[in-house]
Amino acid sequence: MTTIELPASQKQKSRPIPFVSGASGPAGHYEEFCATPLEFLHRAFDECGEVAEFDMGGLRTVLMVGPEAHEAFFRAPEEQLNAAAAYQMMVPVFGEGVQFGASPEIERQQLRIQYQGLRYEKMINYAALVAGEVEEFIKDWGDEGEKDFYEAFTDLTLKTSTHCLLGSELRYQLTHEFEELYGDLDRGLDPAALLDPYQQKDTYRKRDLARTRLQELVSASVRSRRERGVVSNDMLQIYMDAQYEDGTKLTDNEITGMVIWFMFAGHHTSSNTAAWSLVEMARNPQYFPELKAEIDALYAKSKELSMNALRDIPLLEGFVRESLRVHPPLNAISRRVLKEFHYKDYVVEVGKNVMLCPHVAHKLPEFFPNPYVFDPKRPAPENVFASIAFGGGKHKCIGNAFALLQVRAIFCALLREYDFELTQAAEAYREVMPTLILRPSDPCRLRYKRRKN
Amino acid sequence: MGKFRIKVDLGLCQGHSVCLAEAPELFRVVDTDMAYPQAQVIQENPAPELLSKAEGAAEYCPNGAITIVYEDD
Repeated sequence: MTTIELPASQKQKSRPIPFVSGASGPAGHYEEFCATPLEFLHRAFDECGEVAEFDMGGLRTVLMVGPEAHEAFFRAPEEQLNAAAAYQMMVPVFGEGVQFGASPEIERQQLRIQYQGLRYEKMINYAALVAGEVEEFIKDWGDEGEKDFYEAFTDLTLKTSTHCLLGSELRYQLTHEFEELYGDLDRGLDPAALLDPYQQKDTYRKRDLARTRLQELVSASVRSRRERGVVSNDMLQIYMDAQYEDGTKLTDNEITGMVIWFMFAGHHTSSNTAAWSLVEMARNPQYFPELKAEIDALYAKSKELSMNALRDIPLLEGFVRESLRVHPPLNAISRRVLKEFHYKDYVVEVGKNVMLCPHVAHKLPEFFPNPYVFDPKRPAPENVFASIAFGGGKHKCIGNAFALLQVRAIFCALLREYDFELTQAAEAYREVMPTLILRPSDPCRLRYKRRKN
Repeated sequence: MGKFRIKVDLGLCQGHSVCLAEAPELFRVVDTDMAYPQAQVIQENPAPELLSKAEGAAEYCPNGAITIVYEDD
């Protein structure tokens, strides 16, 4: 285990944390961070090494890079490195009183309720549900064609996650309006929201209108279910029935926030991982014969996808894992320092933020040789803190097993039917980050063709 | 030969319960006062024939929370 607390006698020997060049006036590095966050964080690491301090318009932030630093970050207690204080931009999206907009005690109880949908006995049914959604999704594709797969996977994973996690009733209520509203919430999470999510600007006004409208829609579903006396086996029912430890029930505002929270955690992160995995498969077509053989062998054993069968597809798993390494969806894992934080010879003072960036960390050549080469057969690093696409420690994404299951099931069902190829030069599929989630650039078109048996 | 012990890192475990499905003889998953339950090892000195099940639990744990410590006689 890493020691993070230095003996008092050594504290005076602390070294200053290197400061990133190019700060400008009171805004510091804020403008550069908002404009090109990944380029900025890579520059910070290249210039300063494993700890690099920068200035987000007065909020001093320390980037920490490398498994040892990640472990110290993730093992620090909540009273020292605090997630809620660092993620206040989620509050207007999920709603006041939900997750980091609630007290730590209420947040813990809400997370316990969310966990119900991710229990092992629920997960075992999800592979077949996802495959069924993919079959429905491709039924009108014909023998060949072209599609934008960023858009296609955004649409598909909204349906698969909603179906698995929230239940069939909400799944079949998914209208174009729902998708638009989620889009408006999503656009409210730009890099500037890290600093101040309440600035007066159009994207934030639309975010707030979308949150209000979603509450009307979810409340109507809840009301209708109560009036009809319907009891379903899904998350909405769990939210409706749930009680806090003091016996009170969730309000409509809280139920709406729980729905948005659950969807947000698993939607764009999964859809972008699927889009990148497909782009990388088409960029590396030499692997297609082996991939298809792996999937055909899986279907030869069983017609219906199961959670256990989805373990036995190492090359497909390698593509998904390597996509998460090279193109991790979330790249600013943050905590607020509430109690002085010591790491090696460095001291981070109270009031600063500390930040991890998977995109930077996943390119360390000591842990990932030839880090800019996409290699689906790359062995997983031995150090569990080297790969941090899902975060780590107590706040690690509890949906990580679901996310991997979902993306694998999507590709089994897709690659069973179709071959894919790029429609543009390989380098035209670039990384862009208009919100806090990394995605492939527009257009993300690929050609599909029915497989010849 | 074949003796082993199992360690669960509770700083990493989030109660996904894959270990319980792989090796119910070796693990239980218990409620905690956190948001999720956590795994517990129920056999201090498991029989050597349970090694492959224990290795399955370690391999498939989504959080990499399980370590097998191999002990020589």
